[in-house]
Amino acid sequence: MTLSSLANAAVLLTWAAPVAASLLLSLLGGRIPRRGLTLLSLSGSALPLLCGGFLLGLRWLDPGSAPPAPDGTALWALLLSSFLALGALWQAQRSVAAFSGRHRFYALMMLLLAAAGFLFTRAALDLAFLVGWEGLSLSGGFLAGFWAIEERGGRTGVHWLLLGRVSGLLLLLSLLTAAGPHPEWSTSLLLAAALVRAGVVPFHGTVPELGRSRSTAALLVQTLASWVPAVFLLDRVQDSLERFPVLLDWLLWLSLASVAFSLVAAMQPQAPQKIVGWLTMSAGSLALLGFAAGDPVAALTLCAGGALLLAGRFLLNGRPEAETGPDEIAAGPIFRLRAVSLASAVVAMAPPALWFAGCARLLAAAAGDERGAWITAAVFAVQFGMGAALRRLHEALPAEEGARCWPWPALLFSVGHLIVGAAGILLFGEAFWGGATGIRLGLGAVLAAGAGWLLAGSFARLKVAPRFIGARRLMELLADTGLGLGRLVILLPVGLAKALGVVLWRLLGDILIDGLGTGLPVRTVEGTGLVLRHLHDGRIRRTLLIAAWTALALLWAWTRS
Amino acid sequence: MDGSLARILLVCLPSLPALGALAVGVCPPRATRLARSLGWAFSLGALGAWIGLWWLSKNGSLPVSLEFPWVPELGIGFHLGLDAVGFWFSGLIVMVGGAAMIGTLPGLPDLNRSHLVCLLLAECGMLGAVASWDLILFIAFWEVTLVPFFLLMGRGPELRGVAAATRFFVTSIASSVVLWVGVLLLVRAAGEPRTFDLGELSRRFEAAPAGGLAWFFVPAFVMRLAVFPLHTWFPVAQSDSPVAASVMLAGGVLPLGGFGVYHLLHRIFGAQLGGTAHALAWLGLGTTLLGGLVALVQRDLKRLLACLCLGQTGLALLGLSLGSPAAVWGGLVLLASAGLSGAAAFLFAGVVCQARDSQRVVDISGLWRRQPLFSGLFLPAVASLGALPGTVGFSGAWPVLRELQGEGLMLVLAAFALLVLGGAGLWTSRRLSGGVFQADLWNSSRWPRRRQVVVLLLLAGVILAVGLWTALDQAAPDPAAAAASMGLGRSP
Repeated sequence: MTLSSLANAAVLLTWAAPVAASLLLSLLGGRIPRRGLTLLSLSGSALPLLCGGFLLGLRWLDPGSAPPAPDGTALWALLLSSFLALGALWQAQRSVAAFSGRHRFYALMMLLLAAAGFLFTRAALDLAFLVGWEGLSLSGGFLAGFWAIEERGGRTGVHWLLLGRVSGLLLLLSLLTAAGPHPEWSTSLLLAAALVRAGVVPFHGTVPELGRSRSTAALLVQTLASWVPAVFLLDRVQDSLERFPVLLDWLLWLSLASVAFSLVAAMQPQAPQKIVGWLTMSAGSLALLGFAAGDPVAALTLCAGGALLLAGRFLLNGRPEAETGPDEIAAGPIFRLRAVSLASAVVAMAPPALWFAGCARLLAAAAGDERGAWITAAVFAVQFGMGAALRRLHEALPAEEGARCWPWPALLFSVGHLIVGAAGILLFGEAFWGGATGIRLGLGAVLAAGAGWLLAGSFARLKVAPRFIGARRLMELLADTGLGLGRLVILLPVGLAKALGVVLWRLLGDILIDGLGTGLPVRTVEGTGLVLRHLHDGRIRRTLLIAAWTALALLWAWTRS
Repeated sequence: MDGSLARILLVCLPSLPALGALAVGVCPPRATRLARSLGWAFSLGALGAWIGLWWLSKNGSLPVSLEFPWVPELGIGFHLGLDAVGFWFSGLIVMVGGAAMIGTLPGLPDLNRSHLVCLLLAECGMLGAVASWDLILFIAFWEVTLVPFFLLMGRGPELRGVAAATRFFVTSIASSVVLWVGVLLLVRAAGEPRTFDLGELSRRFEAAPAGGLAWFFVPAFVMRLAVFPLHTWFPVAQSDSPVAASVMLAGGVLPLGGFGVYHLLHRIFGAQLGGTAHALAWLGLGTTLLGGLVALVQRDLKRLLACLCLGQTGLALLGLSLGSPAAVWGGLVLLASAGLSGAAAFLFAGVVCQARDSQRVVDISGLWRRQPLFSGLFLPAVASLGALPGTVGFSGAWPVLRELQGEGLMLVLAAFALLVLGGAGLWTSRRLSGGVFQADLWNSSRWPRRRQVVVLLLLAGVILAVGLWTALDQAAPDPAAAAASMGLGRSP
């Protein structure tokens, strides 16, 4: 067995292992004990992580043996997604332990990971890529709505499914037009597919709905099923994007708009899980600015850093479970939770964290760009908003002792965030942070985050003066407008299509075709049958008599006139 | 030896269901179990005959043909034959027939025997039509399917399907009259010696196309394919008919209508379908759009699924009308997808609606909690109807869309239609599986039966296997090559 064949087997296992785990969990999960469930689900997510690590090591140490696919970006996506899934599954062992059917929840998470692995290991944008893309959309949609508490069943995740279908169709059209005479159409469609999948303005209306989902499901759907594949796709087509500056302009302005709306929305008083959702949108939009600035590495770094930073917040500040774990899980001390929360906030924003590296690189790239002022302002705004929001999230943690809290998966994400960031600086030196310019500006951004943290506390302590109420209402209106705009994107076309459907069904179908067209011979047959029955019953003679007399009377009246 | 065996198996294909119908019909009235066993045996026997033909086809025994004079003075012969396309279509019909036989129950318990006889006769008629290479034989089998469907549709509980059955019967007969006229005119135009043989007619008209005669064939196939404007019977029939009729209508009748377009129009009149291609392409596209848009506003689950089926058959007709081998191949795959996915979807819907005693979408929810496997198997069916990647529906839609690259407006409309179809399908699946399951509103008896789950599992497996194989095998889905290997052309 050569290294090459091992590598090929590892590539296959990245998605085959989660599929197998998913099948086993679905079919046998109800019968195996809790420890077996834990082992099966964690191994299903750990195997792709190990395989990805093996492939990365192989690529680093013996590039000749490594298969051409997955390449560096794909390995990045694979490792990130496996790590996120591992942490989410670990958390889910506790958070949904009391729910019947939890094995199916784990199976869906495995399926999501399998779809991601299948997508990221494709060598080119082909049909199999499209299958993985749609698979992510499907599994994400079903995961989002799993156990969602709602009045009418099945609505959570529907918008997500619909937007996923839109992004899939855009990707399909781009594949169809790839060989056409206008390559800019194909690139535009690819860009549109990525933006819709990511949920940038105005396709962001699904973000608040994730507030109804379980925290682990929301984590995976917001990161693994939306931003990571979008950034992965954009990285694949970065060369094509750079050939069409107008597309980069669109990317820039849409990303800036997303940053603005999501930050404003995150500042509103709402459930913590929703705030984290909005922050994820801000972080992802910042990553897209990396592509607009011409630095894809910054984009990948920001995407990974943001995902790890906010994944921990999803787990710490997620929707409180209505039914907590089984009694044998001891209630943890609340200070542990608060300590992890504080540590993860500090670790995430300061060097050598991955998020810091991404911000520094982006700032360095923006410094050399003619539109760099906008990007710089966006970075500082996000850092400020992130600091403020993290402070509010920290203060929103449960206050009472005895709460069943499980901070370790969140700590895992923070540690991973730190380790990867540190590894980056060790391996690549200053260049990883964008050189001296990046370090300088990055530290400034850290200060902005610190300012946000401090001012958030101050604002919370101050009583809001009447003159600030108008500003807050304006900000709420802006957030609501953005949200409304996002909903309109789905509701308006669906409403128009439904109206057209009604017209086609009633007017064309019932009236014209059934009434006049095919209805005519059917009614002729029925009428003939009726006449024959009347003749048989003897009723026809009476009726004929009356008809004949009526006809005669009319004829007489007409002749008289 | 192989040739003789292949011919024997060819004859067995339509004969076994017919014999099965006879055997079940002469069973004593109270021998329900015997009747059911006989019905299943003969239906599975037909499946076995098809598997035998598949085995022989690996040795190059296709195309297989059996021909002898029947009424030589009138030029009518008994000509059965299967080429690659006919072979796979017959496979679809035996699979759907078996699924309907095993997976459905009669609308009323007392109708067990007649239920089985009708299913077997319908299967016989459809298989005979697929294997017929003589026009008279084709039309005979084509019309034979009417009677069992009329009985299947119209004999459910409370005789709900009588109006739908009447509409289906009358509309079919009316379109068949036009078909008869067309056949007679075609044979006269073909010259002497008079022949009704499809291969011979195809060769004669290859040199001298018969202008205008193709329009006589269009109404019959458009009606069976449920294409606009002769589509309204299908949603009504599906919503009012028992489960078995729904499964066979979606899984057999619709694909048969499209097969008729290929088997007759394409073979006799060529890629342009005798001048009807442009009109049929727009009718097909219109039907796809119509199906998707109307599906969005349906409150009845079966009508919703019927509209999704319309969307797929419309796209299939579009592919068949575009004329290129790749598009025709895509159209045929879409017909197969409509058959498989429609059968699976209506089997699921029938079981669930019976258990809930309601066909309204709002009344059905929480299936994921109660029947996770059964509701999960519905997703591939509805995803295939929406032509989602990874399913057989997408395997057919992809080459059709590729062939539309030069047709800007058609491509945009087709893409929009696919978006709407997919969205409607996914919404339906999500709506049925999510939410709260209110056990007190559902039938307390056991549902689904194990054999229904197995049948649905097999159908879903085929839907996904074909779809994923096409996506993963980058070399295979060159539709032009696949079409060439299947010998898609005018003569067998």
